[in-house]
Amino acid sequence: MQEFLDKYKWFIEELNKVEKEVKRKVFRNMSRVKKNFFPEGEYKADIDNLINCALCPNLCRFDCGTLQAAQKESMSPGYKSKIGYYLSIGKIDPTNLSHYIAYDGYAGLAKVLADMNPEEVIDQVERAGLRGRGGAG
Amino acid sequence: MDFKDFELIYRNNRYEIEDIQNIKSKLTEIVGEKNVSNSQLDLFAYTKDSLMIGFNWILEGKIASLADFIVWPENKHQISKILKLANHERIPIIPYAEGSGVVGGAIPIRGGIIIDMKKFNQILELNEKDLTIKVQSGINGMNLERALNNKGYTCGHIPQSVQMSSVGGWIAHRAAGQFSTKYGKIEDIVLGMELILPQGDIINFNPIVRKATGPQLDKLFIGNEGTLGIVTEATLRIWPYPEKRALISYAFLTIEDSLEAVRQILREQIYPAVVRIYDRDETKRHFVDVEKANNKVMVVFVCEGNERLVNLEEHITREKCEENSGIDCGIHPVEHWFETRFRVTETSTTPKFQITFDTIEVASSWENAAKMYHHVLESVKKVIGVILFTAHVSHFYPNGIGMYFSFGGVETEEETKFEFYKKVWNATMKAVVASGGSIAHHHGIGINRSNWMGLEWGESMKVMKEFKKILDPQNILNPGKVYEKVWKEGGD
Repeated sequence: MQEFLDKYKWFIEELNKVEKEVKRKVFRNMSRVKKNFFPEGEYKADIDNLINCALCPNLCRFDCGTLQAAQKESMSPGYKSKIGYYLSIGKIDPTNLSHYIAYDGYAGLAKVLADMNPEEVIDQVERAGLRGRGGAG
Repeated sequence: MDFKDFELIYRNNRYEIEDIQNIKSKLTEIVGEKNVSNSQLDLFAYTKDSLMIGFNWILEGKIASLADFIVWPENKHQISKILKLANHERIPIIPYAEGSGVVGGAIPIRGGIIIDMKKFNQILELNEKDLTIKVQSGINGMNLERALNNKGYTCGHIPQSVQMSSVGGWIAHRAAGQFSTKYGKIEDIVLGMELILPQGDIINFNPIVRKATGPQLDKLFIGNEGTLGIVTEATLRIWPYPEKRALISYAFLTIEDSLEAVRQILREQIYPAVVRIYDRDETKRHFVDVEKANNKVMVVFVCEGNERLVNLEEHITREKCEENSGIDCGIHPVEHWFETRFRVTETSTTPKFQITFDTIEVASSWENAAKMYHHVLESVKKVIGVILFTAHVSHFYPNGIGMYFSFGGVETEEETKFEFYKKVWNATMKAVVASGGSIAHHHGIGINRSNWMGLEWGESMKVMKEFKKILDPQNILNPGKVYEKVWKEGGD
């Protein structure tokens, strides 16, 4: 908590200057993050990290092997986390998604890779100059 | 999965494709089966760019808009054929690359076909004698920069988005990097281009550096935001990787003192690569551990290049800062800036707290810079719900500056987040125009600023619309952006 307060001290100072109604709303929103955006009941996914990755504008994209090989936005780390998040909170029906995975989506990556011989895949990845961190992908 | 559980923000005036299967076959004929998709999960991946309110929408389960197809062409002839097909069928085309735009320029608000340029990712020619590099436009900025660094060069164009943006996107939105005071904006860096016009014609602009061959037609396409053509190749200026870097920081009592110091430095024809003035609130936010900067305005400088020149630049920079009451704060604040310059944690943290956050960059002459800063701050802080509204000045020229405002706040009970967001944007634009500034420095117009284009351009706006009509008579290329006012269409 102390770490949080130190980090956002500047924000709390700003918040102290605004109208009571605005202040109340911000504190209410801050205290309701779990209630508003986390799944109800038990869950196993790391929701905090899924949200952080889903809301990051894919800064690791240049180092993400799957994205560089597939060259499709649907293979980007942020997007995969977004889908993971929606699955966790029940916004997307997993039975429909498994249909997608089986016939359309990740099979698309397999198709890309199948169309290229191993040397071409390695060449593609090397040309992108990947340093092996692989982003979140 | 389907989209019935997701609210569509831009849902009006969409073009409805009658025979989806027929268009899919035609696109498949052009780019091959593996390079066309209308699977729902692919469409869902291309619903927005990096528009900041869009990150709030992700948590709220809202979609900015949906395309009908995504295609990944592999050569210019395929793009030309897609554009001819789109003209024949009157289907909107939206160019897309890395999706880093923050003004909604790549959102498919009328539906249609997104052309993803990611496969145009090759370096074509490095010319060490001419100091140029020819690349395909979809290449990721960081991949280009590190390839150049490995050969001992730099492009000098390092926007905060460099890891997630492309050369084509830089050109489309007339971008600027953090090192622009020395290396210039993208319009100073691009020498030549190959691009495809809205009706499918392929044209080239010769990269010879200076000519006197009639009007500068190529400039019409820099900043066209995918509305007048799709850039496929570009020749860029490059520089030897700097031999030395000098890191300098000074704290000033007022924004006026800091602006005056930088103005005097540039007047001596000294161009530090990086100059950033942080107002008091931003200094408090970013440099809380720098005691000398307490309640002051922090300025960081990076001078780079040939060692002897850098030494001279450092000397004159320090002299001018001290003449204007600057207090030397050492290299730590600049090292801190280097460490954190690509961090955009606001996008991940603020939506969870349901805070609406964004940045708005604008431009001004030196004459009006301080006046604009104070007037915009004063006006926007009056908007109910605004918690913070701060600024830094990040781009400098002998004749003017680029200023960068950041805001965060919450909507009232009577309005939506999007309505609050638009209110802050409009208040900023209005105050900038009233202060004699320009509404955009380097993010472009997209959707967010299109309402203000008429006021910015005056009578010239008619000429601009005429150009659009001549080149794109059916308005298929990125419709709803730059020339049209669409914010009122966005429900929430």
